[in-house]
Amino acid sequence: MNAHSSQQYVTIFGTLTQPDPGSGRNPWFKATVPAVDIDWEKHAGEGHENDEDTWAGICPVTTNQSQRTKIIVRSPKDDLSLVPGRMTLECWPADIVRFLREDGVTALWSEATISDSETPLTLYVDPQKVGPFRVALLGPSDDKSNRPTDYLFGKAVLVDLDVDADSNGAINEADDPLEETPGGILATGTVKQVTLNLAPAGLTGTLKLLAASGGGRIRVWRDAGKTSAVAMPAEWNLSGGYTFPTTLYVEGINASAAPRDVHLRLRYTSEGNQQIDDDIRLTVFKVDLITPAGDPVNAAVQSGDGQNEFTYSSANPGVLTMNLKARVAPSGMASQIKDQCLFTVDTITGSTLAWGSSNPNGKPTANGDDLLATVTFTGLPVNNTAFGNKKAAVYFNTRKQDEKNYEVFFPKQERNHPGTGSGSTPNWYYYWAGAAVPGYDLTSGTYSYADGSADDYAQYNGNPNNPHYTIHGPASAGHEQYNSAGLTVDRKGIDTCAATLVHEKQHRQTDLDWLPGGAWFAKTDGDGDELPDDWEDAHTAQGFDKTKASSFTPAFIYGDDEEVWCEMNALGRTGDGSKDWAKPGKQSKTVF
Amino acid sequence: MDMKSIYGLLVLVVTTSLVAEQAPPVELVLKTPQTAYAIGDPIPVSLLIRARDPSQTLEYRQDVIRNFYGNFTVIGPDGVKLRRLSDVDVRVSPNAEWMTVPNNGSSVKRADLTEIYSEPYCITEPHSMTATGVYQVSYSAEIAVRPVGVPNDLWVGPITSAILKIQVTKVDSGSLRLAYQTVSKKNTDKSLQLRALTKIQYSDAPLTTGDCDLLRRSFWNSDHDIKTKVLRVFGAKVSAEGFKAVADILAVENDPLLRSEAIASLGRYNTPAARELILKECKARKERSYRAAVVVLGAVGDENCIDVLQEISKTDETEWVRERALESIKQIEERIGR
Repeated sequence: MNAHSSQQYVTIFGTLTQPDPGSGRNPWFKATVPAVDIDWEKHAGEGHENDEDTWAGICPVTTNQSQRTKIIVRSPKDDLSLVPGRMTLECWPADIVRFLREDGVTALWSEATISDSETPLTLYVDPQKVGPFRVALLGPSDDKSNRPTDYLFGKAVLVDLDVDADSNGAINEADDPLEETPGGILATGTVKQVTLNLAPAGLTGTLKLLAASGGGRIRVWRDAGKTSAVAMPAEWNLSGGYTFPTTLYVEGINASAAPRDVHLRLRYTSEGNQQIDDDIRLTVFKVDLITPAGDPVNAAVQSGDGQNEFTYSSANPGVLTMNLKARVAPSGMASQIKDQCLFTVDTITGSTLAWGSSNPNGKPTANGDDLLATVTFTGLPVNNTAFGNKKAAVYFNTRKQDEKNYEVFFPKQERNHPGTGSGSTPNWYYYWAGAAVPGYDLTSGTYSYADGSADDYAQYNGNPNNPHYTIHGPASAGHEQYNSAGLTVDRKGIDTCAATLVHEKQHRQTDLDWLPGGAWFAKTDGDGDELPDDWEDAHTAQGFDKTKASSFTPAFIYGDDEEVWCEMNALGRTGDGSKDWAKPGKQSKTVF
Repeated sequence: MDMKSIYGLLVLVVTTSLVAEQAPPVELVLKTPQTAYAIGDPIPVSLLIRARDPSQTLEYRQDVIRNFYGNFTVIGPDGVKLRRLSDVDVRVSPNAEWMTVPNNGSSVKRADLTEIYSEPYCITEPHSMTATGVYQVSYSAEIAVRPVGVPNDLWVGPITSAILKIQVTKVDSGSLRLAYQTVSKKNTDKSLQLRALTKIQYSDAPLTTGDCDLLRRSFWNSDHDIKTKVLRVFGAKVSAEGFKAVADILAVENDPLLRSEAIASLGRYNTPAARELILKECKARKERSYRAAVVVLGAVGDENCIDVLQEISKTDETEWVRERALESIKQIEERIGR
């Protein structure tokens, strides 16, 4: 006979034999050893009882009922019928595991009683600690207090892949219930830490990190600096001890197509090929600036999505309003990340920055898949250098997600600049001084502005000792085109202003030349054009004639030969277009 | 130039050739409130454009006044055409607008002739209206005219106004006295002071010691323009006191333009003492004034000045200064008979 009375009930059939010869038949008998039976669900196949004492069930430490290892308490047997009575479930160590009923809530601790009426009963092993344990199922006692007993041997194992799912900057227990839903989030180009844990120590087998899905959207690194990559799937053999990294960094490469579509799994496989998995879900998102966007130089946009040229309003003080917009992919993420996002814009020196009331410090609101924020700058800056190239960016948790260039302009013909002439002189007159128009310096006091009539450009006061130049509107607004006296001119905007001032200053230079100490002092000017006769003789190739105040036919459009000479000096003279932040101007979409 | 502009010019040329022989439909008229003005007084003139047939409503291109100051012609009492000396220049666009010809006799533009012809730019040839006698003033311009609403009926051609005769009279003693009073008053309007100095400069009366003292005080208390004018008065009214005043100014004044003006004034004195100061300035090679001295010495220098001028003609870094030094040497040599 081969039976394991401690593991299962055994029925012994036999015949009683008389020790000595005699009549009568030998009576038969049947003896049944009372038994209880408890099995691992995953080790309940044929012959399983043969190694039940040496086979250890691996039980994950988990909060997920579906992942728990199940045991089955079967019906107790005695003789040919069920043995009525109650059974006891014992654990050793007593506090290492407990058992949950199907509902996942009702717990049976060591010493719990199980009625035979409940059998077969499936219980879920819920380890409270890691380590080996033994489960014993004890049946009813006989008259000598013997109890049939069956044993199971198990090992509580913690396989834990963690991520900062609540994005609070730390990986802790609060993340566990969130690690798959909603899961962790990370932006493209950034890394997110994950931790790997396997307990108890000394386990043999393998530990494997794999991407069940979405592996193409991430890369895994051993370090946050992304210098040592981890090829996926990554598998560590534990036979030589714990050789797996406990911290890895996941880098977002491509945005998810849907939230949670990156599925990472940490799998422990025992030498007996039992497996325990722990999963996390990740969403790789990207945040792209919609406004501003594009190339403000070669593809300028002045309104709506993609706007990259911004101009102060005509109010006084002028207000520059930027409606910033960033789009989050995959869809459905914007509201989740909005509180961790910030917009930033470059300052405009001398102009007061204010975020919209719904956007404190650049914090966006979400609208669909868009992050939105409004920022204003009030009051035009003092200096022209404050306009021009700027950058806007959107951040997620202090990490820049996108950055775009834009340009800031002043409204050319408005008069809302600060400082001298505010409200009375046009913005271009104020801002082009200093550097944009060479030699034009408002601080010198030699310039003033007057609207003038429709075609007036500028006026020199005719006093070389105390020169003054009155600049008129068309010096910026006019498109000057002519072909006269051999000069072909086609200029506008800041170039017209620059050339106009050169022209007027040449008048002054002419006057200085005639004054004592000047090059033309006391020379003869037979035709009265303010160009000396000998000078005109030296410039006949250019068309000058000392006998004619107006040497050119048809007459030069601006007047006599001195005007021609002033225009010759002005020809090709331009403003510094790179410093022209007027709208319209040399840097604006519509170049003027 | 774009095609539109080229086309416009062609039309203008063709039209001009077609209509230039026709009588202009408008006339230019110059007006002034008085027939005579004393030296230094403003001489206001108004330009009128009016239709020859007042029943016609015409319009003209604004470019008729584009080169407004340059379009005047002023013939002095000596028959010489005055040169426009100051560039009170309004540089205007060729894209002129069309303006309706006013039929109510109103002017289209006004000017003060004494602002246009205000001051000599070369010391030997004054072209201001500061000589007594009758000046003949006219205005000439190329003009484009058309009836309002009939753009193709264009007349283009030159028109010259009738001559406006203006008498400029001497500064009488009463005006001269008022001029000195004006100069003596502090905080008087600068333009009034300049006109007063013009009256003094071109009056017949010589400077007295008291006048020189007044002008000297005025020099030190005034801005650059008045200082320049005072120096020109001293140059125009040669006197021992005037020389002393200019010499004093040269001794302390550092402004290169004023020092140059002072050198030019001394050139009018043509005395050994004045020549010595000019030569000293020439030797000092100060910023701008030595260049004035180089030129002035050509007019008043003697053989003692040649060595200095030769040195400058060989060593000066500026080509025109070297040339002017050579010219002055030549003038001196011609004068002293070398």
